[in-house]
Amino acid sequence: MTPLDGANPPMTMQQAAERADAILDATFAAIRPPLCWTHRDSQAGTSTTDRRRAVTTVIAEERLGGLLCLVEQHWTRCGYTLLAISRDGRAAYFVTPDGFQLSVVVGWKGQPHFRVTTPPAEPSEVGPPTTPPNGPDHRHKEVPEPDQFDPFWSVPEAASTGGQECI
Amino acid sequence: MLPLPALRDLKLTELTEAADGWRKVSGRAHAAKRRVESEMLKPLRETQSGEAATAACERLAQVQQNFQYVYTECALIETVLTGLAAELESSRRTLTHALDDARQLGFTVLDDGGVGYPAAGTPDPGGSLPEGGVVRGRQPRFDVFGHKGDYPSGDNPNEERARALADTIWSALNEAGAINDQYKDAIEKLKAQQGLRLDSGTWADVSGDMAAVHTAAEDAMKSQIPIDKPPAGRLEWWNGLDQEAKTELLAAYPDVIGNMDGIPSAVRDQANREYLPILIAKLEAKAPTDAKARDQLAALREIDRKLTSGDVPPMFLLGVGDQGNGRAIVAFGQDPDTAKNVSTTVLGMNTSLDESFAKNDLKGAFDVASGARVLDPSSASIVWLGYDAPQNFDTVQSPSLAERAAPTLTSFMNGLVTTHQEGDPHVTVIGHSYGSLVVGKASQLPGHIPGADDIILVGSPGIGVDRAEDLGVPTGHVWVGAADNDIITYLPTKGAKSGAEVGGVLGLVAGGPIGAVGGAVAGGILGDFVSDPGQRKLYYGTDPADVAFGAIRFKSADGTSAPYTFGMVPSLEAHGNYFDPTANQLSADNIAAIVANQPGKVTVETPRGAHDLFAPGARLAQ
Repeated sequence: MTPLDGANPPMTMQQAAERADAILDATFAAIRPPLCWTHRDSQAGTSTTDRRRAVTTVIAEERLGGLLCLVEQHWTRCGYTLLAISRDGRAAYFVTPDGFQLSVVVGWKGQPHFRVTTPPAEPSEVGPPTTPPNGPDHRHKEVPEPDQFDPFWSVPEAASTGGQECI
Repeated sequence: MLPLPALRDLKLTELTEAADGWRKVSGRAHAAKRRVESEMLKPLRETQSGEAATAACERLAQVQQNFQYVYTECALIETVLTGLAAELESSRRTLTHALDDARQLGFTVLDDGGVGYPAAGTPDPGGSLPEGGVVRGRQPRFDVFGHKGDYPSGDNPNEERARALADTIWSALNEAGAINDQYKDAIEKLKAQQGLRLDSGTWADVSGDMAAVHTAAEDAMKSQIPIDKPPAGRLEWWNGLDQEAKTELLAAYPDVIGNMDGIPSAVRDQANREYLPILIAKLEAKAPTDAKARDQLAALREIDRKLTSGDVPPMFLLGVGDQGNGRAIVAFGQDPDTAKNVSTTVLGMNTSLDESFAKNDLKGAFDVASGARVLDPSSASIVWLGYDAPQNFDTVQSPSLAERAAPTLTSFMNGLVTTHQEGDPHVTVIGHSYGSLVVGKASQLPGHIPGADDIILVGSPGIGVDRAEDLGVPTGHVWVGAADNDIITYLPTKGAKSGAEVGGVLGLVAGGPIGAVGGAVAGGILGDFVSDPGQRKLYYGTDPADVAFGAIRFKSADGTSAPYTFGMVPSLEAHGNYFDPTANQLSADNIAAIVANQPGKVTVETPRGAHDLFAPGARLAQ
């Protein structure tokens, strides 16, 4: 398998993982008010790896649509392409021009899960992400339940100002 | 032959009391083993680190092993004594009845089994009765050497009765002798030396002991364990046993209980965990000269490592064995008996109990469980290696292995539904590659696949059924994943292409490099799948991804294609990634959504042949 086309020097799995972290950092930075989230364990393959984050802020059902909309706006603005969207609109898949796959899937108790899967890269050791989580670190837990209250995201009505709604 | 006094004076209660004693020792060792684990080892591991703690853990692990050994061996002794007592009792009963009859008739029974009878009958002219005598069982009626006394006079009516009794006594003694011999070896084997130190050799001995006891006590076992009952009957039997009987059965027959459909999953897991070191030791003994034993050993060691690693989601060993190409049934996630969602995956060609199974195939089940539990934590995912999958393209070209596997799969599924505590879990059956043919065949058995709510077919070469609606699940619950570049989902129709071409493609699956797609093979495939979109027939029937089949096709990554003279053709790379969330995130997430009973989370793909734009021929022509 050729890691990447073009004249660029081939990327290592570690570099790919760092780029995945950067994509996720930018995604969370685009969401206001900020969400609490934790890393989840990733599973490196032989040439690809992934980075996973689970939102630990409690998201009210009424806020989910707005949140997904923000994510979609940000990813589209970055030039990423929508690959697929689920029948209930609660799972979406994007791909970057350089072959990173992005997904946001709403799981149990309305918990959004983000994942970036790298394209094949030069095999290398892959270290853990360096970005500190926003909120408690549940890295080695199986599925950390959302338990962080936010005056905007956790309540159906906009009880505080500063919330961004997607039109 | 057992001497008559031995059987007559045998105190069976001595045997049963001894058996009771061993059962108690076994039970205590079992409890002790568990206490070492839960009250000593676990807290030590969790709270202490450093050299002293490591050393202590090692010593405690040895203590735990010692208790395990005592537990297993004592239970085997108990089993053998109980079996011996039960079988001897029947011989003894026959003998006692014969002795009673003899006493009533005024006959005497000698210690060698001879029956003496008094003079009786019509007096001769001299006034004397036909004289009495002694007869022995199974003696020739007409002695060629003409010994007196063995010759039937026919005058004394007692003689015939005495012969009948002597025959009965002879049979009872003979039978008891055979039982004695049968058990003698097993009991001999169970002797342990003073100061025994446990090592892998000891566990190999346990394996031998277990086999000897099982052979000796086979009849007793069959009367004890209802292996011929359906799963519901077995569960009823198991639930009716007291804890002591359960513990004893687990120790003596972990391999039987561990693989029995209808036994609760947690019990199967416990039995198989106890059987695993014994099976490993058995294979270690065979490994130096047996390649298959080496493969299975590597798999079992890896499974053993995973079982004790404490990874999440948790793991259940629902079956393990060394028969055929090896057996292993492994679940990840919540206990399958309490999970709301349970899935069972049947894998295809080249699957056997080897290191690749223990690493890659178990990871597939782990991934399905992890993915489903993001959507619903009450989910379990099982990989079922309960059949001999084809290992080469000669066997993969025949449906016979799938036909043989089908009833075994339905029995397992029946067991799952039977032991489920709520009684009606959401069940998904997944067939990959040749495994989809097994699922297809199972769906055609009477009653379809027990409990199945959803069926997923991935990387399928056809399933022997032409329409989704015939699989026995409601409309909209048959799903198919077919990567556009998965070569197996384009296998030519049987008969339409030469066997060499089919063999060539299948041969590649057997381990050929992806890049080695031969021109002829590729040409044949290419020609085949561009020809008739909308009604494509594959090796085992209609392509499940075709619109004519009627399943819902979910999105999957295309996978890589391989270069070919005039463009690109499908490859094998895409065939193996359906469960892998890194290599094929779309497919893995879709499978997880179906398993978690959240069909809304599925991303849907246009079936093949439904639209020219999506027809594979059109894609490849680009």
